Amino acid sequence: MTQDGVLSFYEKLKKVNTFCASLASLILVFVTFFIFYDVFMRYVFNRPSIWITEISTYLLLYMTFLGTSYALQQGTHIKVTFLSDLFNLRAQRVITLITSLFALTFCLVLLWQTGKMTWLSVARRWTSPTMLSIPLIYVYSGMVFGSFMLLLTFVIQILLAFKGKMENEVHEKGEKI
Amino acid sequence: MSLGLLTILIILALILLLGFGVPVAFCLGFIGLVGVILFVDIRALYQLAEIAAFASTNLFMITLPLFIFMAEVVNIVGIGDDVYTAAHNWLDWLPGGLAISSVATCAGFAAVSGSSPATAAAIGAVAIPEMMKRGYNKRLAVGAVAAGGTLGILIPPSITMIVYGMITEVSIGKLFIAGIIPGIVLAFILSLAIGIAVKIKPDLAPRIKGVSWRKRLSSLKKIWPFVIVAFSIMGSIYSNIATPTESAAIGAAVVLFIAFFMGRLRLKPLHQALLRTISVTAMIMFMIIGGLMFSFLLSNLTIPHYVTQWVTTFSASRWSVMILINVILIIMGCLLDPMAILVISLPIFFPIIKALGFDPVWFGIIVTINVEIGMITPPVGLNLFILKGAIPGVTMKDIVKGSLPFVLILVLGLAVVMVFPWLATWLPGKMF
Repeated sequence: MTQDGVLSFYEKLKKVNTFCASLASLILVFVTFFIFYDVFMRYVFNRPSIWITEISTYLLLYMTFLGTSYALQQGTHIKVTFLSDLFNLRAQRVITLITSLFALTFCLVLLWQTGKMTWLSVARRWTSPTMLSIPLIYVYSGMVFGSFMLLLTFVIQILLAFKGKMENEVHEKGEKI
Repeated sequence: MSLGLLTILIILALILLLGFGVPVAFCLGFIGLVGVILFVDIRALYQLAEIAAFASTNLFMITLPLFIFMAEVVNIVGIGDDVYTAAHNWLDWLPGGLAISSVATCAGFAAVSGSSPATAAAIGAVAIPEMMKRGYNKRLAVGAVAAGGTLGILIPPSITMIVYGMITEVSIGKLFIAGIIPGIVLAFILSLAIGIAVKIKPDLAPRIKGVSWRKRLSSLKKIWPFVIVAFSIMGSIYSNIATPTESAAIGAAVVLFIAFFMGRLRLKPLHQALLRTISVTAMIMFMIIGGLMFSFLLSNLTIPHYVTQWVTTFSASRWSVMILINVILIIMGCLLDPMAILVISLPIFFPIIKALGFDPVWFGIIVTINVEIGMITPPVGLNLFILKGAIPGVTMKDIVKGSLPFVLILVLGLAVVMVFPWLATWLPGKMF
């Protein structure tokens, strides 16, 4: 792929990531009101639900994995640089490349293993051990999707950084909590 | 290879990778994976999927996005401004009254916010310009807010305590309640120190002319949103109506209602707030996943057990171990952010303190105060950075020099909670 090709692909990817994070936002708003409603029904009408708690935990998984590539894109993942600060800029770029490969390996294994887990959940028809007994494929596949987006975003970022065209360095510390 | 050498190698690898800028979450996960391949079994990599699924469907972790979201909406409503106005109308007669009211406001705001930098930023944006306008010493103004802001994670709700509870399986509700008294004590010590400093050097903070009672009372009228939110969170946990997760949802929903009825809920800021919440949530969740993978490797190699045994045979008393742990935590605080400190250190420290018979809830408070100190110590202090970004016209030098005296005061507060453990354990003991 040419340089501009990578850049324009990254622009599109950013839109997809932001869309995923917006979807996760919507889920968060729903979870907030689901749980609020649940407490209200239980406390005021003494009618607890069987599904809200369980569904909320699955939705947390979706929030996490729909948001992770967006977090990477926004530079939210916290890192420190007390050792690489000791080197000059040229050396720092090489260091960044190497350390990115370490991080990339983690994402790759995550994709591989969550993929395996999802495949097993299909092959063995795993369902949640609760009254709802939800087929776990619907839960686990969220992890596969999220890991894939994370990996893709990471690869593109590394490609751009390697070619020195990362126009706004995303490596600065992002928002902190 | 002996276990001792292996432990040292793993810690070295950790320091190297972290220092060269591998994001904390991926760094811990990567070391965990490589260690598993080398020393356990490649098939055990499947553990990563198990951990990811376990952590991200954990009921208690839902608390995290809910409280972060709540804090974001609290900022949209502008609760911090109104509380600060009320506080400085009531406390203006004290020496250094505006600085003390900043600390008091931070302590109050901490009851509706689970994050220190968020607290420092929200209060700093109103309090610091106000103090500088009234001729306060710049460094005192910045330092008071930076230090006061750290109370955000000690006074519940607290994101730090949620993560501590997740890693150590200590009840998050108990941790929350345990933080209340130490939080108030710390706020009091900080205020006292400001008062004494201003008494000794009156030119740090000019006296403000008295405020009329009418003005004082009318400023109270505006803090109702704060009272409602704080009460709905703490009340619901303490009275056992709701779990911490549910109280987080109640808090977030109540703030949303308030924002809506005050007409301050606009779509665009809300969307931005939600995106920030999701981004931070995903970041912390990944840090926990990486941390648990790291922890899986350690416990598979029986390293926590080994270190615990080593420490207990070699040290004179359990308190010398406790002090050593605190020193390490403070050093880590200079270099790392709170979440990273927790996920890196707890897999090793927590088994030690349990073996030595310390109270896990109390230790949670000790760790929290330690990471608070870490937030205002250079070179990496989140509150310092956030204030630099939030307040135009102050230099990093002013912020660091202004915060440094407060580091000592927080260490004093840490010592107080260590000497009097009941400050942290009494209230949760009453609870269940």
